[in-house]
Amino acid sequence: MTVLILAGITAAALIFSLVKSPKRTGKSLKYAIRLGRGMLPEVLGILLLVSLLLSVLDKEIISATLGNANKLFSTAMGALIGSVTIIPGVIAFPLSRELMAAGAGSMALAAFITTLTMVGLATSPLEKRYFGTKFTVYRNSLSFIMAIFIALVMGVLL
Amino acid sequence: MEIVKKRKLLVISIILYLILLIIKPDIVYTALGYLKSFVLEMVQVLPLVFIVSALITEWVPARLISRHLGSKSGIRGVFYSLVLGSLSAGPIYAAFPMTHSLYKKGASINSIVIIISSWAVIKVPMLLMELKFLGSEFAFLRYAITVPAILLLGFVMSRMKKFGIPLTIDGDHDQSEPDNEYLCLLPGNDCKACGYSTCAELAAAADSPGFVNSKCVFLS
Repeated sequence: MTVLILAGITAAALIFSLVKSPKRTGKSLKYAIRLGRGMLPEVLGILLLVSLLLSVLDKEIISATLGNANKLFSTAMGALIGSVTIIPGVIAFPLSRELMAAGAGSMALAAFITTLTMVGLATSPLEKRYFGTKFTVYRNSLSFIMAIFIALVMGVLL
Repeated sequence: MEIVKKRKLLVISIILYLILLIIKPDIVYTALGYLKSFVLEMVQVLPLVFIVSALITEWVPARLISRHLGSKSGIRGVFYSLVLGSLSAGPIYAAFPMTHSLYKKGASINSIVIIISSWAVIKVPMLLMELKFLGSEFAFLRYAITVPAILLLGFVMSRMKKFGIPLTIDGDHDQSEPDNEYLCLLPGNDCKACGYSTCAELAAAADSPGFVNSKCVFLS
């Protein structure tokens, strides 16, 4: 469902390109395949590892950690767990709902969701390849700090 | 052996799975369950992203990107970046190829950081889900705080010195020495209109595609 916009844009761009120049379209598609071939093995490796990590991290452990009475601890743990994993939004939100029902604090959840999507220890090898080490390190660390900040503000306001 | 080296991560993961399959198969089955949804999502999004990235690289004039997403694009550039990212689908790593293509065409650091961040965290399609599962108070508050935070992040990163972002990923044109990576953006006619005596000199002095675009008369 969420892919519809992206799919629509891709289709439109592709049609435009085909009409204007089938030759350049072919060249683009060849380049796209080359991009894919470069990225695919690494992404698969990352996904394999993250899936393994998720299957090891018990849901009870996560909700206990995120529901810890010590708000600072649970927020920090939320941020840490989120940084190491990546979960599709389709799963992340129902999961957060369950965690909330199981007692996870909203501060911890905010930190978790933000780092889950924005900070990726798992995706950093890929990010390094595209943007270099310095960019990757800075973007991820600053985003991590940002996530904590967001969680703190939410904790104050909610 | 070359092939294995490039796929180091994948090889290690597979070996790990095989070992665990023998010692503790339950973990592997659970993991495979998660893997299925990950792969499903990846397969839906990545091909589209690669096609769009390739089309951007082939068709979009650098001039256009520089003007709307370059370092001089101001508020408009920020707005476009936010919108681009929020229209997205898929996990953050899907943003990398596309954003990289935009960077090569002259998008500023500010723009690409905002695009990547909003791609990750502000997804219009996802907002509905978040509203449904976590409530409107949580969702709107999170968005309201996260958007300015993203802008701040972009600003901070844009103020930093040279990142050394590679312009060619393995598989692109042959890996010549890094200082020549900007050379492939240039016409190579040494016309001196940019103020440098050769294209190579401009390439050596450059620190981003945006810089090259703004100097070279053939690109701006």
